[in-house]
Amino acid sequence: MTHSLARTETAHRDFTLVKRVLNGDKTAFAQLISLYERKIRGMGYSFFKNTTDTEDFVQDVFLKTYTKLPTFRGDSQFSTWLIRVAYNTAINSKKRRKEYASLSENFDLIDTDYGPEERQLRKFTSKAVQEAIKELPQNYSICLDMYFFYDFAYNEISVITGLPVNTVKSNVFRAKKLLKTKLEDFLGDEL
Amino acid sequence: MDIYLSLDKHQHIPFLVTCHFLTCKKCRTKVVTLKKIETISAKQYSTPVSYSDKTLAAIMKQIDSSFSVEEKNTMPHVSMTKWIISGLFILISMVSFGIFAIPELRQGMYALATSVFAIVFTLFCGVFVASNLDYFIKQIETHTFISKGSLG
Repeated sequence: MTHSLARTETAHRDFTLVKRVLNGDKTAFAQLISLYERKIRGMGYSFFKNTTDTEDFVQDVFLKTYTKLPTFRGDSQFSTWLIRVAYNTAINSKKRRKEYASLSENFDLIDTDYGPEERQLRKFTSKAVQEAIKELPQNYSICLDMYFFYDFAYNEISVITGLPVNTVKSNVFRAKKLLKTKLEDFLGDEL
Repeated sequence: MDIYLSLDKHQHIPFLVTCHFLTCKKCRTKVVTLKKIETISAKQYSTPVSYSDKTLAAIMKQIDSSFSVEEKNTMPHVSMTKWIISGLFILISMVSFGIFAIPELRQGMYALATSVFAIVFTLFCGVFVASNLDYFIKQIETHTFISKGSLG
């Protein structure tokens, strides 16, 4: 309930920022960049696997977003629309590497302060996601990243990647089951 | 547990599954940890970058060459010196009164002095917050923003 409320607030905040940008307020666009840069950078690194190309990618995506913003109709959330722009940019880029590297492999990319429990859980999640990815066809691994790291729901992932919702659902379900099994070992005596 | 795992993000948990979780500690612990995992995983990429970020500045320069990120990101500078000095002065006065005031004076004036100190200290805190309200609002907004963790 709280989480849904937070999402509604996020959608409202983004919508207000977009409206401000469209009215000529460039500061609002700086705010949008600030909010979504980490996600776009994460995606860039997964596709390009080097910092120079990732940096170009991030700039390219936001410039494209700024230009295309008048075409944003608000049918989906701004975050979904933005990530879709980023995903299509990455897919169509000639510089991208063939294999997509999951964000679970790049967990040290961002230096954020975490407590010991959080750090352990993050390590544990990244391992579980990595193992789940090994069992999946290459192009499906992005579904898990989108679900676990970008915080998107099944239909949003489907909109971004163009994969059927049921495919997304079954891939995420498989990863969650693996996570649960690993969790049982991890929690051990607590259960 | 499988029903729970098949649910989408923020999807309503079916009543029977909720009932099961209420009675089964094992599943409840797993669900709580799984929820924590989802929050932690998403948090890393939901944290906003600072306005002084190089990439942000580079993009904004391309959009508007006259754009200056510094002025958009100003957290008002609050000088603490005068507040610390006046706060210390109040505290020292309170302690000094208790230690150094002659017993006769202390007896007669005790209620009045403590009331005066209480009023002065309350006023001090009130004025401190009121005069730096802008700073506190920005601090709270920034931290609420970051701690929400699900900005995507």
